[in-house]
Amino acid sequence: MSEVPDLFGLTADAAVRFHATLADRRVGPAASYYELVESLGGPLPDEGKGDLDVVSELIETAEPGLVGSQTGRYFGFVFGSALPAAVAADWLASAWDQNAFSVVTSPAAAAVEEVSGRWIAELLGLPEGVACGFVTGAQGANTTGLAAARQHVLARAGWDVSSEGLHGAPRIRVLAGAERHVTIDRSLRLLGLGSATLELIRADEQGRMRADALREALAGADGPLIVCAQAGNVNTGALDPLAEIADVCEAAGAWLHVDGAFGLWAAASPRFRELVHGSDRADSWATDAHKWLNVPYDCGLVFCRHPESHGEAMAVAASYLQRADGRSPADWVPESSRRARGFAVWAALRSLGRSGVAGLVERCCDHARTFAELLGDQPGIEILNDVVLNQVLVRFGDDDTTREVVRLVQNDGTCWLGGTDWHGQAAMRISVSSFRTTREDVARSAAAILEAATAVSGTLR
Amino acid sequence: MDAVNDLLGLTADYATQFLGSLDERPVGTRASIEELREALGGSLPERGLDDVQVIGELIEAAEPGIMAMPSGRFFGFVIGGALPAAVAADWLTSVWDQNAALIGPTPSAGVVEEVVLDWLQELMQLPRGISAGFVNGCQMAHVTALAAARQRVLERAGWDLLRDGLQEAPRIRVVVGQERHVTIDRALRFLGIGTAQIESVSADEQGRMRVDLLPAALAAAEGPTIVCAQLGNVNTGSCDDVAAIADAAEETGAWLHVDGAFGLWAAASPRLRHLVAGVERADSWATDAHKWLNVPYDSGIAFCADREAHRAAMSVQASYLEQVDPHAARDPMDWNPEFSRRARGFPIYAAMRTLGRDGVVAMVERSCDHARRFARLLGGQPDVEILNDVVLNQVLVRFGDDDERTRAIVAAVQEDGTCWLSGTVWQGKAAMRISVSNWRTSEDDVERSAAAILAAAAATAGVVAS
Repeated sequence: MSEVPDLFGLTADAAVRFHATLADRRVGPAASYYELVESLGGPLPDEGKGDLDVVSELIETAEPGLVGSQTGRYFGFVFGSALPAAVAADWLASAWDQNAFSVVTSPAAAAVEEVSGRWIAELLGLPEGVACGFVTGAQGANTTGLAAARQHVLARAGWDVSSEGLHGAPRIRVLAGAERHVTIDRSLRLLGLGSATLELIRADEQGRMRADALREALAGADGPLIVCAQAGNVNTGALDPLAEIADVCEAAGAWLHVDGAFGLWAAASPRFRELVHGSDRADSWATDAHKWLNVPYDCGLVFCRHPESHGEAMAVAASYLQRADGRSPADWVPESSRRARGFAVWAALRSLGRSGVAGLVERCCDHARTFAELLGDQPGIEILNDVVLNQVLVRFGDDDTTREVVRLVQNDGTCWLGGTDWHGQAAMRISVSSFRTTREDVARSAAAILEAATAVSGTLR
Repeated sequence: MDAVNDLLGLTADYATQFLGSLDERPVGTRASIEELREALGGSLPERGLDDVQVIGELIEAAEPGIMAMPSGRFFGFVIGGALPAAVAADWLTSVWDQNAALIGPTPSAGVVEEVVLDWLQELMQLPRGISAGFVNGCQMAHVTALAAARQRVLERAGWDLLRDGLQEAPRIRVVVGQERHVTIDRALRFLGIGTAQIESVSADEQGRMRVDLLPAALAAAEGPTIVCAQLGNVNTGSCDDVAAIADAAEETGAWLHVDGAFGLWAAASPRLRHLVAGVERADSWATDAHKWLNVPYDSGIAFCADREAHRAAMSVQASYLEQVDPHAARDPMDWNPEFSRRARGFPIYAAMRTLGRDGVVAMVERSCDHARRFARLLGGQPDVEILNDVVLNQVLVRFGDDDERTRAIVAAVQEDGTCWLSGTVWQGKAAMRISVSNWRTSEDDVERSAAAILAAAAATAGVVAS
């Protein structure tokens, strides 16, 4: 135990030093995969080692292979960053090492999930009384929401999927937009619904599901129906027309699930709330806290309007599991023993307040627009999407040039972003979701991108 | 940066002080759920608060509801503690905030998983070349491994599960022991396999699947079959005879999955290895790192001998996910039901590095020795009965052959706070359940706790009798 103060002190010092590098550190990893295999690998040692040595060595060997997702100039995927208060609360979750299974195993973990789950439901404009589960991310949230949907739509058809399984069950039709996120397909696969079950509805040029096409597809439909809508396309940031989709679903008696990994957070801002209009009419919702709320990995949330179906799909009981009053965290998620994810969420919400969450969302969207202005004004550069949220797709003349510019920017290290294909065209993909990103970060990064573009056009032409 | 300095310094100081208080603090919680709701709740404030104030308030409001799971005298469920090096690595995981989905963007997180996969395979003496998914606990490890099993057994039956789903597929049978853990049922429900498809084989008095009955159970029907064996019954700690189960499974071509949430760690110890003999013959294994390896919550691992089925059941592609060097490097998300996720490899790496092979073995063996000491200290008393053969880290204790008295003693011990443990029902009888799985537990902790249990028993004897 005498080592613990030194160990935690060393770790805190390293964390502070790491934070101090964020303004200027190279954003992409500095070490290659093969260098890291060399420095981290080797056979399992027989003998142990002092904690201080282990942790110092880990810092030394792993740090060159970290990506600077904590900097304000990381624009890859939709990652988010981590607010200092959320990091500190996550440290407490590790030190307290609570198993957030039930009220008995950890009343504090259970209470903090209840409170922060309710706060998020309120921020996202969800109906009162929705059930809530804290999972690892939107993938788990989609799977959980769709498991509740499977339970519910089959029960209405007179089939108890928990006892009978899917074998021999009435056929379920699942409809989703052509530009849904791949996590939807993966969730359906886990739940035992094959890819042939999924019917794709045409999307418009921004990737939004066409509500009229959905209406046609559902005309005269009966039987178990699930519709997956999307709030925030992973490329364009576009949101499906949720109110119109909700109309169609209500008329057809379909369960409406909303994948709102990041886009649902538009509801937290008075300026952007209109984009999610109608989302409160869905039956289930999936979102991430580790993206736009900026808590450390990993944390997602699932919400459900039908607590009975949600509970029947998830809840657990066994003789050695003593019970107490209150919401048992594991009854609403696919996991059993689990991390106390509520502490970091609570701290993030408490440190931002309602206005701070709105400000974070709006700032990211404003930065995305600044990017579009700074880059889109240049000759030979095209912005492929309507920048309605935090995503910008940039194309530099042709596929080869675009891919080369992305590669050069990644190597340069000023910022990091990835490439994608949008409607058959290669594009650079910029996603803004960090509380740390400033106007200065955007200006520096845009300059680095333009410099790379100039260098590439010089060499290619 | 001063603000971050203060905040993280304060948090580190507090954590040091919290862990330093474990020797003396009551193990159970002091606040009720209502009090905690009150302290933590209210409406979401409009304006934010200063970070240092937020963390100060969180500590003050939450601490009375914190179960001292890191304490050496916490014997509830099978929880495990957290090694200091693993806590520190978990802190770095939060600070670095890597999304461990793909190895390209976050190579350190990816490489560390590759490294510990090799170490764990070697430690447990599982077959070379197995695949692994680093999930958030044994529950999801079951989901992952059983999804691979479902994929493979249906493929052998000529069914394309990925395309056609389960509804019209050949019916899958899942054969389990009567005393399997509830997470098996839950994983199957999640995967679309109903309770009606689960066939339960009777268990012996220690909770082990009756292997003499298994061949007949397997022969009773045909079709795609999955067998689930268990290493470490959650009550008694007993381990199924995996070698005999593997014989029967091989005979019929069934997939053998092993639930080794904590019991699989016996494979690391030369002294205990006999309990899990034959374990290397399974097709898949599920275990926890947050239990017996003592890393912070949450961390579990799914291993699979059938890499192809494992990958087919889990991996996905999308245009914006650029995969770097797919031949050489392992993308974590190809082996997990999660997509974006925490870099769970760092704390496992730190735990294994600080312990070494010898340290892991010693920690497992020490826990088992402590369990036996408990059994001796308590079982030697009149009116106290040990219900199980203490082969691993679990002890079931019954007082006066009386349900009510046993439950009252469990409640009194929880209330007393010297240690924490919970009750269970074993073969129709109420029992106290002691589980030892914390690196911190010392002989002194065991003696103090046994004394507190006996004091509660003595106090309760009078009350219940009157």
